[in-house]
Amino acid sequence: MSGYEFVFLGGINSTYLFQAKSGAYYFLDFKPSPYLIEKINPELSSLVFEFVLGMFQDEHLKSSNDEKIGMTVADIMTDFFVQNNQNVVIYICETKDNRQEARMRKFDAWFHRYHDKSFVKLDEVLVDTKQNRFPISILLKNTNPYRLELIDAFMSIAKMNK
Amino acid sequence: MSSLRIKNTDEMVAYLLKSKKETLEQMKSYALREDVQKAMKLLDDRNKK
Repeated sequence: MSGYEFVFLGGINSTYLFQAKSGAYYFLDFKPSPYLIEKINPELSSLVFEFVLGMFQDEHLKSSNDEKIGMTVADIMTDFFVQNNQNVVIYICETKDNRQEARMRKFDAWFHRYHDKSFVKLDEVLVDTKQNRFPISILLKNTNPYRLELIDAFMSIAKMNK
Repeated sequence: MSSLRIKNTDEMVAYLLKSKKETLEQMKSYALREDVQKAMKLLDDRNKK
């Protein structure tokens, strides 16, 4: 079983597109976000990207538990890192409906099921001053020569309220 | 760009959530682009085969 065919649309956010069997379209963006670690490590800040996954479907279509979606996301992630294996990707779940923990569990499951062992994933929970919790993941190649510096930069920011 | 430098967890959370929301909004307009419509049609045609 392989993932769905996908298209690289490019642009500032390195956008990818695929269509699931339900007919729904998925856009995946890797948005440059140098601001996140610029204060701690300005030299490496251009390697930082936020990962955003958006799903768009006609209202009459039913969403399904489709295994190939996770597989395709993993394929696209791999393709993105082929462009530059020094990149680092950060993922935060939407919180507006309070289902961020469930979304993160799904992302974790996809990662553990489909990644090719060449990635490092670091999970952290950001806790703001109001004690709200926001799970995030940081993903990079295990061959990234700056992996220790990048992880350290994120941890420095993430723990500043703790 | 310097004014956007993230200094602590609260700023990081606020930035990430705002940025994510903006990107998801932006995605809604992707389907209006001609090149994206062509790509969507291509995928749709192939998936129907």
